[in-house]
Amino acid sequence: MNKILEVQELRKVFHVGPKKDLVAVNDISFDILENETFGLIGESGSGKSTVGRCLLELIPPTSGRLFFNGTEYTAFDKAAKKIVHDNMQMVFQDPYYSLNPRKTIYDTVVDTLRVNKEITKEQRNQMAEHALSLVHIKSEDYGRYAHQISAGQQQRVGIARAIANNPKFVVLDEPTSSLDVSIRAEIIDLLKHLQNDVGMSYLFISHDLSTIKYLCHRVAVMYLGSIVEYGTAEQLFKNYAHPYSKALLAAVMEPDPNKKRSDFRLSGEIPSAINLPKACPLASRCSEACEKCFKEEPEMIEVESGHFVKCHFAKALEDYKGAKEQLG
Amino acid sequence: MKDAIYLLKKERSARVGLIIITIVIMLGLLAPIIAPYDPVTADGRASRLAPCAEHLFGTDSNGMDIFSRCIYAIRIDVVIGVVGTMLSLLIGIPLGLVAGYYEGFIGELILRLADLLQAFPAFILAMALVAATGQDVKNIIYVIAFLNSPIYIRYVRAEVISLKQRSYIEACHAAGMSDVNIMFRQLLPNSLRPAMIQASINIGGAILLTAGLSFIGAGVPVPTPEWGSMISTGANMIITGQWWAAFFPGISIGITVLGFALTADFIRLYLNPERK
Amino acid sequence: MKKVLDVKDLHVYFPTSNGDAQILNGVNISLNEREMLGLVGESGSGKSVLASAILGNVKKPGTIGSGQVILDEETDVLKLSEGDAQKIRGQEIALIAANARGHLNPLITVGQQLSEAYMAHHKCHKKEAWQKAVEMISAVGLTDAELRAKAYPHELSGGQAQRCMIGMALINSPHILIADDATNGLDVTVQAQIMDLILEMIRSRDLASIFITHDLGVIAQCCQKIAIMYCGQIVEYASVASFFDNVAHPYSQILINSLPDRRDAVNVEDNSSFKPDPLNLSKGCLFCERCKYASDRCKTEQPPMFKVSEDHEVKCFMYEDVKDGGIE
Repeated sequence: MNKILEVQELRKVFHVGPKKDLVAVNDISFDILENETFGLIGESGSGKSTVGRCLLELIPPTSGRLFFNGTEYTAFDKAAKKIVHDNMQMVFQDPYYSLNPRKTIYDTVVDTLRVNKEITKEQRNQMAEHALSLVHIKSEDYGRYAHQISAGQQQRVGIARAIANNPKFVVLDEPTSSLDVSIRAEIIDLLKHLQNDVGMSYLFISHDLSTIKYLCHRVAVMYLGSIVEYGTAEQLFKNYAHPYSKALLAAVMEPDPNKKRSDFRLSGEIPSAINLPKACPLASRCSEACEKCFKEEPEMIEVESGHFVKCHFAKALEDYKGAKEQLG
Repeated sequence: MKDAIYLLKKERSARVGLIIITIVIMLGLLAPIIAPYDPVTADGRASRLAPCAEHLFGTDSNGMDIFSRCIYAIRIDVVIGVVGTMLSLLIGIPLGLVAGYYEGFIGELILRLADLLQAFPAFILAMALVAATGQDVKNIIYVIAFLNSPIYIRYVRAEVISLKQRSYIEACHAAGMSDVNIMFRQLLPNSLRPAMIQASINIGGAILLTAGLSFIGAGVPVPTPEWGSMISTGANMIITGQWWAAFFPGISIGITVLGFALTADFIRLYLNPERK
Repeated sequence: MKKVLDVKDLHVYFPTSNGDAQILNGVNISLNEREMLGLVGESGSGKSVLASAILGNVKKPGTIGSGQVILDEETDVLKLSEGDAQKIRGQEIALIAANARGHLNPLITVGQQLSEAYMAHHKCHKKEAWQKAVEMISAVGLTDAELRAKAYPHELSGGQAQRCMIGMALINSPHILIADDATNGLDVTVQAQIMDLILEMIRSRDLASIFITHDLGVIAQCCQKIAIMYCGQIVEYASVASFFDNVAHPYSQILINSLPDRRDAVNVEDNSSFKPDPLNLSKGCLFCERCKYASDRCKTEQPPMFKVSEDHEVKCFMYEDVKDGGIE
């Protein structure tokens, strides 16, 4: 399968004060295939939103390499920006604030297309109308403003704006977190449908595990700027290997009175990402941590085909079952 | 237009404000027709007359009809106030946009220049500048425009800084819109509201500044009819009990400034995007 | 079994220049000793107004149209004067809300705030109140309680601030607790810790509680009863076991179907524009417009609560003729 996006050793550091460096993204590498939904799970401070913005060059990475369809676009120059603008787009978390309050929703979608100098006005309008119809916004609503439509509709407009120029890759930064439960489901199903009909890859950033499980093909779990585990959704949810993944899954309450949740908890809270030491990011909270965890950064170990874990206790492939028992 | 009328029906303050300034502007425009006397012709025999049938507001020590002068003064005071403020906006808004969007060196530079200008007491600086450039309506307009622009630079800059964080601006960046496009087509229309409201109030302030300068003789030259200089010459007459020469121009200023201040409320409501 | 709380036919409206906005339209729920009731409602359902009403805290312009909120089978909270209502708040019923830091005074230390909460209901010395505050801060799981009590809200993390809120709610030993979206905005792993704390407090202090949330998982795992709220009315009211066995009301079915693992039908249509207008409620069933089973009768007549089984009631004409047990 073709790799639409490849990220190598992406690093983003924010200089927040004298001798204070906030490591938002800590040398991560992953790839996304064509027509795949890749999930990025993490809590606050994990760096997941920063990753999305680095991929779209909204924030310049400190170091690392980015490839789209085999072509490198790491440099922040005109050619790189062209690659981004022609092929990648983003959907944001807060549906209301992601729309210009003074523009009609029709204009919002058309404006995005204006950047493409190669299309005529008629083509622009056609593409905008096509995008709006794909998200099921009716033509009688085209003249409405953001505050006149519901939150679900606002987010649909945000999606229409993102897909209007037929991008191959869309970053979705917590697109359903601010929506009501019943609306969330509609938007998720819409995204799935669009992927099947139109064909594009998604980077789906979220902290909601059940949505990720439903929507994503492969998933990466982030903690304090590092990817601590990644693999297919099934591998992660059934054969999780990292203690952090275990804690995340243990925190979920199943809507089934017969399934009680696990007692596994991490102690303490997420530490600050300023001046991160070179060690396992979870060491301070992990009940299994040993001396090595505090001194040495773990390697990414392949525990199953395509399933990687960043933990000193992970055992490669054949030894995997042993590691699972050790973690308990 | 329709929603402007709807707003006027609902909000009394807006209605009153607009009525006042409409009347004032009409009077100013129709001055040659309405004013019974020529504003600058002195008639020695008619000096210091109390308000009566021939002279509605009385006459001043030079024999000039105060009613006619009050009406003609509209053409000076209101024009200086409105044009001066418009010019101020024209200077302040683009500078504010740039200062807010490019916060680094350019932004800081613009802000420091604004600080410099605002550090001086406005009235003293106005006096000095008018004295240097000559006492002339044109120069007073330029001085007012120049002195008030820092206010709008700050208002617009503040709005831009807060709005550029919003995700719809991020979306524009993601789409590849140029900086100029984002500044003028996306940010500008959304950043104007506080500045426009303040501008309406400031028209009143500009009128007061003009009147103040003219009162001390540093503004519009005598004998041009202007409310401030009229109050100045009329003030001498109060001691002898002749109150009308200072009273009527004073009240004219008061009503006009009130009118513009109330209109600020109308602008506040009209420019609210969520009203639609 | 004593009913600690009984809400009877509660109607609350907000007069506006365009008419009366009907927010609560006949709410009937009750709470027994040591019982946990889960109240599910999306935005606009009126759940927060209901919480305010139970606390006797409906502020102008909100007006009580009719109904009663009976506390401990003796007092109608709605008929109390403000002074008497204040005595009840905190002492008999307490509230934990979301966004803890927004509910704490940023200018005084958390220890002082808890002390003040204590002194509001007990005549005592500042020193004694401070002692109680420190004890409470320790009881909610914060280490170094003496030190922690001297901290200001902005110095605490989200989880720590929420713990202090819980402390403030429980310091006067109420016997009823209302948790309104108590874990919203917190990280997943912290949510788990806070839920553990709340459940522990409820258990050790024998509290009756109402959990207002949109998370069916929380209710499935922790509550005994569940009430589904739509447009200011309870549309389904049942024991948790009975509910998850047989989700009866069409709105409840939409909510269940929104859960990724329970999804049986894919729905990309935009239904969010069917939100009823509180200024102009229909005479018939308030859910009619969104309901795929709606009949003509539903448009003109409002259904009463029908009993589906011993511990399961539904406000829907489809269940009119059902006697105990015989459900589709």
